[in-house]
Amino acid sequence: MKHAIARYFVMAMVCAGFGLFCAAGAAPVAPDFPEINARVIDKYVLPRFTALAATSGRLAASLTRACAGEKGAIKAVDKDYADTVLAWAGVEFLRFGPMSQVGVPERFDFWPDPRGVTQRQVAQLVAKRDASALDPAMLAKKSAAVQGLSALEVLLFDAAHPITGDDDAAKYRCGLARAMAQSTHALAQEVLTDWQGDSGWRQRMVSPQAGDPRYKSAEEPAADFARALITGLQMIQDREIAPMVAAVPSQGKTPRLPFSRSGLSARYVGAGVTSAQDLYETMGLGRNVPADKEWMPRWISAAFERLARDGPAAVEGLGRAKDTAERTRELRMVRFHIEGIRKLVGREIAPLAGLRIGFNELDGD
Amino acid sequence: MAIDRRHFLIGTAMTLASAQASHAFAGVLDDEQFGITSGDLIAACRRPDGTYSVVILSVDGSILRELPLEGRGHDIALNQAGGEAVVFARRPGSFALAFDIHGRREPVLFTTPANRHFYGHGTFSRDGRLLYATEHDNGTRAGVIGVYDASGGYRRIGEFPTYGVGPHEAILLADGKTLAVANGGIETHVEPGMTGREKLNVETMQPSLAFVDSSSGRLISQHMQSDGLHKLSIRHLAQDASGAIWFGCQWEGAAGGTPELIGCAGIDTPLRIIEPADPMGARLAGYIGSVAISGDGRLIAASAPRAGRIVYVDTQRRAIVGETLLMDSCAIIAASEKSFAMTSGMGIVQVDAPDHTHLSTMTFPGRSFDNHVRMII
Repeated sequence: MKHAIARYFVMAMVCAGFGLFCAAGAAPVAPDFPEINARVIDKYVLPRFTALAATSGRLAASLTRACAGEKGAIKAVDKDYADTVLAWAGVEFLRFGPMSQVGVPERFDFWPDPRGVTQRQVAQLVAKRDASALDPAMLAKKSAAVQGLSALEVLLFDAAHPITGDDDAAKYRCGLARAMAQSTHALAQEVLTDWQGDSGWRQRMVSPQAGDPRYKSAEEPAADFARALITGLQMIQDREIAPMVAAVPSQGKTPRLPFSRSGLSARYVGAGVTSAQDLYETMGLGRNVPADKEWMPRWISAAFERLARDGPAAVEGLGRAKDTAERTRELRMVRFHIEGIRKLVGREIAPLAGLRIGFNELDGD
Repeated sequence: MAIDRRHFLIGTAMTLASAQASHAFAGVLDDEQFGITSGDLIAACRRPDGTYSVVILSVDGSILRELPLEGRGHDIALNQAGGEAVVFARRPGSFALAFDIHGRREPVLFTTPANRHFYGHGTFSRDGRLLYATEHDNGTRAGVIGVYDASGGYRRIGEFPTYGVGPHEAILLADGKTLAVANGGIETHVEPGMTGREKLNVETMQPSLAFVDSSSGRLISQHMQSDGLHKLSIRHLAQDASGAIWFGCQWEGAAGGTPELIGCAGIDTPLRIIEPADPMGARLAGYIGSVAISGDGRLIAASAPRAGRIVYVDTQRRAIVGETLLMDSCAIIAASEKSFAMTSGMGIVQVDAPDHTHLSTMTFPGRSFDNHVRMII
């Protein structure tokens, strides 16, 4: 433990000294942004949305079988739901292209939900047995909070009211769950479609045009990718790590984490970290740093590895009795690695690659 | 049409302007869960799709209301008693949008006259009936305060000079009648082929802090930057509990000679730049983007977005007493007696205290918050 603390402070001092490294070093080679953009979209973005469409399609199919009374189908529902949640974790922070459109991410999953809207609105639908909600096309026009994966979780992981019951209420819940899965699958397919074609987002981001209101230069999509990486890590910090830190002083208090009802929180954190790391590596931002900064990509890679292990472990450790101080230290280390990656990418690696990712820092007032 | 949380919850397959659809589903939703309350924030932002809006949001991560803007916004003037807000276009924009924060009335879009543009800031009179906005006279290239009738559809009813060039923030002092105006000193001009943001007089610029009688437009007093600091543009203002006016500056000179950036003055007291034991100007990248006073009136927070720092100044000791690191952070406002809410271009809303107490962070992914934020009291 003493060793861990010493390392923590050494790294803290390294991070505090980031500014000193800015002044030194030769100018890096300008990256080929069009090539980066095509690579990120084709090798990273599209495969992940394809996976989301595939898993959500399987989920819709297994729920259809379960609602038809097929024996054993509910087991497949559990697996397909987990696969869909983990596929979503891999893309939820990619708020560019089709995911930049108002409401699209929230329809996949309405989170954060500090006011408990999802639970309340799903309960209202069930109480009314609103038949229109059983049609996925109609459901898609209702509140974002009654669509998507957290709404589905409310129905699938309610031990007191299983969707496999024979009564009318259970049948309605199963039908609603099926509609939610079908609606989510349809949305995933819409997103995939929106990437395609001559006027699709892939074309707009790979071949930006001066007249395009969103992407006028090849640098802009690349900056969006870097911004997504940084905010994706911040989302893990805000939505998963910070609630656990806040819960530490209150013994027995359970932090509110995404997908805790289904027991997927730890795997969800891990999938998010892994996807962020894949984005970083696919962009290749750390490839052309000058010699005096070569330690940065090495540190980032090591920090990602730590996060992929320690992030899920922190969630899994929630239910175990543990020394408060030790748990606080563990969570601080997770936070430290998230912050370290964010700062190095945002303040050093991305600017070195010629990316301007700030909004206020550029030409403010 | 405004997009509030209720409409947003209804789903997005419908168009955002579909009032009919919102009525159709209103019964399913509990609008009261998303009422605007004390402690909520108002800020201009860029949305994930690249368009601009002004949002009312809570620090728990909920967007409570959103109104699209035709271009990038900047600061918000807030009439707390009347529940009215005005978001100004970023310079050299010429639009402003006035709206009731509770959505009880239709928003009012108004503009400057053709030969004026906004500088992004303004303030209400104490009774909320008038709105004062910093503006540029494209003919004389001088700064003016445009006066708008807030009780009459924001009709422009007059103007008076700022007694300088390139005015930026103007605040109404605690006496309820004196306007403090930061004349940044930078001359710009709008004409075909120019963005209106080109700096035309950096070598000869002369920033000042002017005190103007809001009822008559009379100049009460004015303090100029010293000759050696004539490239230190005064941009943002806040008044502390003792009555002193604090300002944040932006350095237009060579990076190697960056001076300190934060100072204070009074109506009868000249400009005084504070000199911390450990020089801060270069560490703050020569650029303060916003200043705010704490709830107890004793601490000034000054944001430096290019450095990703927010520094805190004890106004009585005139000393830096803490800092927060937040990438691309700019907008800042008092959240309590001793804490501040701040936003960033990376979609973060954070509440911190100068003693390094971190109170909360929420991320609004894909969203970039603009330079200023206001809190509903």
